[in-house]
Amino acid sequence: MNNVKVTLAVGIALTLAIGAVTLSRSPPRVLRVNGPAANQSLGVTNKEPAICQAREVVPANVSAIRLSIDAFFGSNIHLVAYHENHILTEGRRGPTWTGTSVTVPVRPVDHTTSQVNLCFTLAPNHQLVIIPGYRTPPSRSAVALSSTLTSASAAGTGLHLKGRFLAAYLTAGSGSWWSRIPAVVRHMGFGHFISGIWVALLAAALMLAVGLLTLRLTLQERP
Amino acid sequence: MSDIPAQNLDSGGSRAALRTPGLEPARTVQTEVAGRRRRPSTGVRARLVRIPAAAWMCALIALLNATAWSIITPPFQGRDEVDHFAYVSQLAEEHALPANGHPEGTYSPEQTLVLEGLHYYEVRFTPQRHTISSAAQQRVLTKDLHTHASLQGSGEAGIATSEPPLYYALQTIPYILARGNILTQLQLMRFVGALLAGLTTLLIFLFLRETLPRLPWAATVGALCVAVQPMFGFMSGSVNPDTLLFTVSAAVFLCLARALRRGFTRRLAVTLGLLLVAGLATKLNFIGIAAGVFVGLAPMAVRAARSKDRETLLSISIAATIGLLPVLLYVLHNLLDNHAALGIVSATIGGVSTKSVLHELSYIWELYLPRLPGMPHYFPGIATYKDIWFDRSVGLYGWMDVYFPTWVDNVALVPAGAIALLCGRELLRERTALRARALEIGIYAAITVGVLAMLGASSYASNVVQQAYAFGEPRYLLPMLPLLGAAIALAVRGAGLRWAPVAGAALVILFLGHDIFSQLQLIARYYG
Repeated sequence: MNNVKVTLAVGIALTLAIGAVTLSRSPPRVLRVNGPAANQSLGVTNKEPAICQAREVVPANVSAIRLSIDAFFGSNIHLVAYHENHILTEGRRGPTWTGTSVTVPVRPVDHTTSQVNLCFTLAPNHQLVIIPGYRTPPSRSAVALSSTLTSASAAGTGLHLKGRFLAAYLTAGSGSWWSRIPAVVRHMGFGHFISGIWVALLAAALMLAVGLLTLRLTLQERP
Repeated sequence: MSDIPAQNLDSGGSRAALRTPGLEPARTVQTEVAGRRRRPSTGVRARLVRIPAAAWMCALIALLNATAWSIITPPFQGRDEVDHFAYVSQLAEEHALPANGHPEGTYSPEQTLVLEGLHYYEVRFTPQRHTISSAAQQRVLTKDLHTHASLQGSGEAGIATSEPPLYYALQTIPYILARGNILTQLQLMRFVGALLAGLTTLLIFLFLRETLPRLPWAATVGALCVAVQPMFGFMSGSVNPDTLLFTVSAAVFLCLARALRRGFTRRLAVTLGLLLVAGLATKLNFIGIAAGVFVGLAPMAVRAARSKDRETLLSISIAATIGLLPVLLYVLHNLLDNHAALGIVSATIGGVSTKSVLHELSYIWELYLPRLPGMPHYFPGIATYKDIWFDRSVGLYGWMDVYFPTWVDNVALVPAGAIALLCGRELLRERTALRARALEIGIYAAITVGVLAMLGASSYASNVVQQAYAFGEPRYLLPMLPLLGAAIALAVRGAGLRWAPVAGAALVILFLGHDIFSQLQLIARYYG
């Protein structure tokens, strides 16, 4: 009997502690986006694309790069930023992503660097992948390479796409989730069947009731 | 419902029953109990009263949890919710089924206006875009809501168009009740989903008490964990026919469990047949479950025929006939209209049949399990069982754009592994009883294989034949929730009598914590 109580108490304490730690972290912040919103498809493939685009600017303190890639089953992605034929930064991510973008954590860069050739490859891949982007003249467009990524990618030889893919450069935000709670509560008040603080309060009250009833039933029914 | 409290089948009685193969044990117990008790009343109220209070509590928890999900999920950001709403709208406004569905259906002017006001198209699939967040945007939305534009669309409902109408017919009730404000209509429709979540949980509780009666605590923990399972909560908190599919599936499981343990009465047969009709009228995915049930009924019929059990044979025939009736009517209707016999399903089968059956089987295998030597590579670089099914089961909400970081999925392997080990331990310990329950387990396995094969075949048709996307959403597996509950209950029993209370309490807290963090993840994505 007491064991159940102790287990529940430890579980609740752990949940609260993990929650507190999670909320003390900061949501990512966008340092720079390389262009307007993606408005067309640059290419569709179920092969292993390797794509580069020149003239990127990688801001200082970047810790992740979000690429506009549309896939239902993601693939392993390897992202490399070249500057003067040297690797400025790079990152990898497994296939556990889905949707219209993939965020790849990269080795932090301590200074802003321009004239960067940003390349990525999806391999191995057998699934449908769409590369959304925005139209540009061929001289500025991304290039699909026929081989895997190497420093020679900086030369930009390959098939020119219709435009450039979208890249957002991210870093850790300044304020913690704790400090954002009032803003989040305010935000939840828009676009629902009721307005204002009531949306957040109602959701919180319901979850509180769920928690209390769950604990009560667990204690009531314990052997 | 039961005339015998499930607990009465406990311990000695149930152990003796488990040792006797086939349908004998349940009947023996029933006779014994009937002999020493007054024949209980069989009215609906009497049956409801006999349901344990814990079952109602589990149902209430599921209802509240799904309602919380329905409130935090922004309008129309549930999976395919726009299309499902359009279907209901078409039924309620035009009194007709939708037709000519396209992936991006043309919705009614009112729905289109509200979607624009909500910035729906900018937000969905795009985790970096939050929902509307200013008073000015809210004013535009309010204006859109009060424009009272036409609710009559083009007759399309996007991807929902080909779905059968039962769920949508049910949803016309809240739609009509809340007429005048599309957001209130949507919320009330979501609440119906939450009510169905409560009913599903109640049925799962009864299923667990029926199948695993020895330790009622374990069954309660199983049902509680299902009640706060976050993906179940998210789906039930949005407008989606999956919610009714979960309920019907849970009822099918309960029916089968009772039929196999207490005897297949005519009343149960009619109920099972009607449930099959309801499932087929709810969502096409139910075909997988129905196929599993029919496959499972076959050995049951053979056994009944061998033992010359005419009552059981008649019951099986009744259930099968009622269950097959809508399929036969559908085929007849299509043939008379010069359409393919099985409609949209024929198209899928037709496309598939042009390819090698072996390739399709390999594809279905690889969609869930590691590739075997000699099989073609369909998912190179992806461990589907982990990267798709496990990781996405940990969390995949909204328009498939809300999920946990990969490290959370990896950490989740630890409790999942512990549950699997404890469950395996219990199954190993009860292997003698398992052998006696081979038919019952076989039927559940047939249903599971039916669901997986149906999904795999659809994915093959889309992914390989049409060169489009594969299907890999764990929500498709939620009709198997009763088996998840059973696995949890077995894990609790697997901890042993001494540690079962601790294991149960730990699992409840684990699932509750998972639910809360999933909701926070959703809140961070849409409102952060």
